[in-house]
Amino acid sequence: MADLSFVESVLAGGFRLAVPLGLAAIGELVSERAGVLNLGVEGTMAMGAAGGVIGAATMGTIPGLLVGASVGALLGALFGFLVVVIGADEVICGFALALGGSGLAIFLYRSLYDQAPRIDVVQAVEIPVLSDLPLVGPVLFDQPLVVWMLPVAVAAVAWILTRSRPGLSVRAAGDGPNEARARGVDVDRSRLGATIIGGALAGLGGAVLCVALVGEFSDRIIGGRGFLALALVIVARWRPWPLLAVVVAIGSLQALQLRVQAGGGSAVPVELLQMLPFVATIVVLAIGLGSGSAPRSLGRLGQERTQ
Amino acid sequence: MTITDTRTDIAVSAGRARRHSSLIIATTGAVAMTLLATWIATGLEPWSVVRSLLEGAVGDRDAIAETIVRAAPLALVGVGAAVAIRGGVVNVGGDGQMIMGAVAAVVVVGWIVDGDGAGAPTMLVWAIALVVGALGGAAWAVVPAALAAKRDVPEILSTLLVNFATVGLVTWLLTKTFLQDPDPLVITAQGESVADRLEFTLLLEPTRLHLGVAVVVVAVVMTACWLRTPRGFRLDLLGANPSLAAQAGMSVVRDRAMLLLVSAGFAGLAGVIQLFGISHRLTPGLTGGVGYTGVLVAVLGRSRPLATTVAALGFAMLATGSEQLERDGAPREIVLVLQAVLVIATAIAIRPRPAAA
Amino acid sequence: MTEAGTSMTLELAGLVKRFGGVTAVDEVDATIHRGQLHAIVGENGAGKSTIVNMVAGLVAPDAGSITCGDISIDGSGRRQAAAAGIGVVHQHPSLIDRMTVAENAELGRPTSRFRTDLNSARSAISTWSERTSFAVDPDAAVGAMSIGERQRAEIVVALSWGAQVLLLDEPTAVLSPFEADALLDVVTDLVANGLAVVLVTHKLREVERYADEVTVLRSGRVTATASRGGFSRSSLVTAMVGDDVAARIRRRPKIDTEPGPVRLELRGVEVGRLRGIDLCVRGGEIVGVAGVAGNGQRELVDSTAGLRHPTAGVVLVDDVDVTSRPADAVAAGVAVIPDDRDLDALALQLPVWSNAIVKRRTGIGSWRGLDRSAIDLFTDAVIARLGVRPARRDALVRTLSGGNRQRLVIGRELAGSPSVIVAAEPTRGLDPISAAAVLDALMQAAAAGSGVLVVASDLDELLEISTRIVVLASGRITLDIDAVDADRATIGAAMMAAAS
Repeated sequence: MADLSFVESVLAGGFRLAVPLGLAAIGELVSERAGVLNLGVEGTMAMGAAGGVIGAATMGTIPGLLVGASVGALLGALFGFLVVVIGADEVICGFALALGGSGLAIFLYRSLYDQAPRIDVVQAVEIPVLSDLPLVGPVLFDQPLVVWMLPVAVAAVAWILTRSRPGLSVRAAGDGPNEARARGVDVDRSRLGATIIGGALAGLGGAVLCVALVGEFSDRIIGGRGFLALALVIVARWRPWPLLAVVVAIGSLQALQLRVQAGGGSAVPVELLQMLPFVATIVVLAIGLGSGSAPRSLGRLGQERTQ
Repeated sequence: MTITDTRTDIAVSAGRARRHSSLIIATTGAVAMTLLATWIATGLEPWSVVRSLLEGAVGDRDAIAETIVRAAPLALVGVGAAVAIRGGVVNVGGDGQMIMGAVAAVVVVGWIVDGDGAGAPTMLVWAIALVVGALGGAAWAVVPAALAAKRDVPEILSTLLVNFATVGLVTWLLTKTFLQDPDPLVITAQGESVADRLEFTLLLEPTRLHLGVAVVVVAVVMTACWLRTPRGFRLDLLGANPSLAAQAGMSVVRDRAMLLLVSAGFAGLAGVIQLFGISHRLTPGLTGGVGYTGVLVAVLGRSRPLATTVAALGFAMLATGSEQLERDGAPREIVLVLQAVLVIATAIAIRPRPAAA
Repeated sequence: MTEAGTSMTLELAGLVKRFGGVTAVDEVDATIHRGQLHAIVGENGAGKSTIVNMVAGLVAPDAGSITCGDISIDGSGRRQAAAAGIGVVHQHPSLIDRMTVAENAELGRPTSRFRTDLNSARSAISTWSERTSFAVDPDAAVGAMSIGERQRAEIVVALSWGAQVLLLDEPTAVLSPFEADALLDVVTDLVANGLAVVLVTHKLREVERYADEVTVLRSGRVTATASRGGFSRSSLVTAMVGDDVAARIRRRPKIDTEPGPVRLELRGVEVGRLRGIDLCVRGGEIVGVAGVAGNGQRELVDSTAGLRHPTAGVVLVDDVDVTSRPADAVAAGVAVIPDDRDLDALALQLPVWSNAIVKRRTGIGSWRGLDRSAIDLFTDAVIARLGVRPARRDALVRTLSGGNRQRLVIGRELAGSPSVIVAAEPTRGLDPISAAAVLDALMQAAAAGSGVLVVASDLDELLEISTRIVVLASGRITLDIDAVDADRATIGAAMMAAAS
């Protein structure tokens, strides 16, 4: 094995770190394309993480991931039901879900475990031949297999949104719900489906983080990733492939920070490097990338109801 | 979504007291269901939970004082958030704004007094600290306000991002800069202890009820009065229909920025009160998450200052009660779930019903 | 005109629909045959759109039946009606503008396949595009199309679904006279080839020229039916609005006072689509701005209210510069009646009194609080001006009907003798009585000395009340003449004039 160059190791680490964030982000993208803003991603990820840990400890890694995704789907369904069917304000409910979901996750974990249960972190799988390719090799082909969930999810979302009828309905729900209703599309059902998928992916993201990558659950494990995902969807202008790029970029920033920390100090204090992903996102938003390309009905669910 | 297009219904469901009954039913029912579900899932008996919570919250005079002490900064942040929400601005950056307000106060006070807190009349120092704290908190919202004004970035997003960025900043400030605790034995992140004479006067020994509570009461009452003036009315208009407000001659973008700064100022003020009244030193955990729960409390109070204060008391009861719960062996985070459930129940109760024609 | 009684007859029998306490459709019968153009006429609120929605399958009737051939339409959704061969083109173009025409056609199509099949949508659209000679490109993004193009695209999409019955709800509302006639000529060809068309309209010209059969609705009931050659314009009007309102319209006096001083002036204004706008409105004048929607009307209205920043030019009210300063515009006495009242003129969740005092800069209170008695007095005056029902100060505006909402807006705007009134589509969506009240109020305000600028797409309405007609096309003023000298042909030509 040749030693990895600095760039390769940062990118490889970045790709790995990007997975939980990216899964949550692509899920939120689906929800927002349908016109539903779900601020509760953070809580859903936390619940997915807790569920994943519980599942992994009792049944194994893959079942753990499935449990995490299912829990996320349930929360997504709950949120969708509250907002789309009942008509409660999506900002309030999302925010409450973010805080309550995180709290519930901690509560359940602490109720069940006094000590952290044993979970084996997933190991990297080295694919012969491909992993020797320069740059692409270590980044893509010498990783734990779970890492592939992210590009697969992004590709699936991209295809479904453009080439499938449910995807077309989702886009219609987001860009022209009244027109879609007039054409006979069940906008509410599309939106509900979108929030369920969004929740499932967020839950999966949380589960992947705790079960596959870190190996344990803790109070602050999600650490703002859910909220960061919301911002990154905007930065990527609600498009799947740019979102993948943005997410990997952020992940690489974090990998860079860890590398510097481990390498024994740098000019910039370690604590300040923690700020990096958030500051970078703020800077990008300040430079001014499109909220002009937001789905038309995003943020206006309340108006649809009353007019 | 352009900012001037979003209209939050929470801004104006503030107004009419028509849905009290449905609100009470919704919230009570939601709490009951949550406790029931917890019982089924983890065997935690609802009745024992309620008993622990009540005992911890209002069981004796000390408990009540403690609850009030906790409610004070929460109410202040909540009222600040409520004012902003009425105008259509959602400020969730309270935590960062609180801490940075406290940091600013510590820095400025450090210039005025010496190590024992002498060098200026205590009242003056407090007054300066409060003002500086408010300004410091407001300063922390300048970037989100600018992003909203120039780039149409929703405040709820930018304040959140700034919040998370602040976490790292504060840790650095308290471990690597002049703000850190001078005691060489201390390795955790914390600041120097506030001089004894500068701690807020205790109103009721031996409880922790302190002078800062009075400041909060004054602030809340003043806000409630202001909201009843023509200015307050225009605030409601801004939140209900920014387009109409613009037509009526209001400067929507500028007013929204002001609202964000004002609500951040409230948070900064709360941070100073927390600093001089309770924690007596800068720590990363100074806020206790009040920046977030302040927004929840504003929603529960439907953006009305007095109702928000009542809601803050309710949340504070849950918080102090949760410590008793912890002592009795149950994880205190159930309280976070209860708080979220209460808010969701409120959201359901105040939801807009479809229009007539 | 072909034989009736073939299997695709659309039959409406005893249709009833109630919303809350209001009966929108009251025992309506009608028969539409293949190869016929059947017009359904009535004013706003007569129930025409409700009938369209029921036939299209979007709304379930409370009683009665709708049968197309041998399929019964029961309101279970658009798909059922679409599968039965019923196509609908709604009043406002309802294609989603972020998608292409083909994608819109795929949307909601009654199939259960998972993948989209854009190719078959494309070929169907191309076929019908040729047959109608509408020149619709299936891969064109709807957002880049003009309103007229969208209208045509929507018809082609409906036909591409295999519609045998086509419901057209006010299709020419947003078109210039030439485009309107061109559209209806094509529709006539389609009818001659066997299509059944239901044309819902309130424009009597169209009924006279194109309809084979007419059904007149008033307040949800059928008040008259006739065949080609069996009706006159005045008989239609009376059947539509009843004797009293018809008489009121005929009686409305024309303004003949001399215009006063210039109250509103736009000099060289450029903003958005507008280029080099020079316009004066004097006290006592009603200047009607005609033009196809999307040619700068929005910018014109917003500029006079100070809400847009022109890149060039000034806006003067009584010689005071109010460019880009809405507060100054309000202080100078500019009253604005926007075309989308729910979105721009009212705070629906607030009560009537809040909406009434919105433009009051003083007199509503002090640092001590709001002055309730002053507010109540003012609100009562606003309510009384055009008669808002119910006359409750505390009622939330969203409980008011459209007509009453507009009465509130106008009552508020006209309070305090405004110097300039800018009204955009003031009678849109209003029942005839409210519409008449609104137009009366505008004329009274002009007679009292205000300068009135009315922007509307309904040429008949403009001609009815204006003293001067101005035409906006491609962002420029292409015509500016006295109303007495204006005729439809000249105006229509001016609407089509491209920017030079």
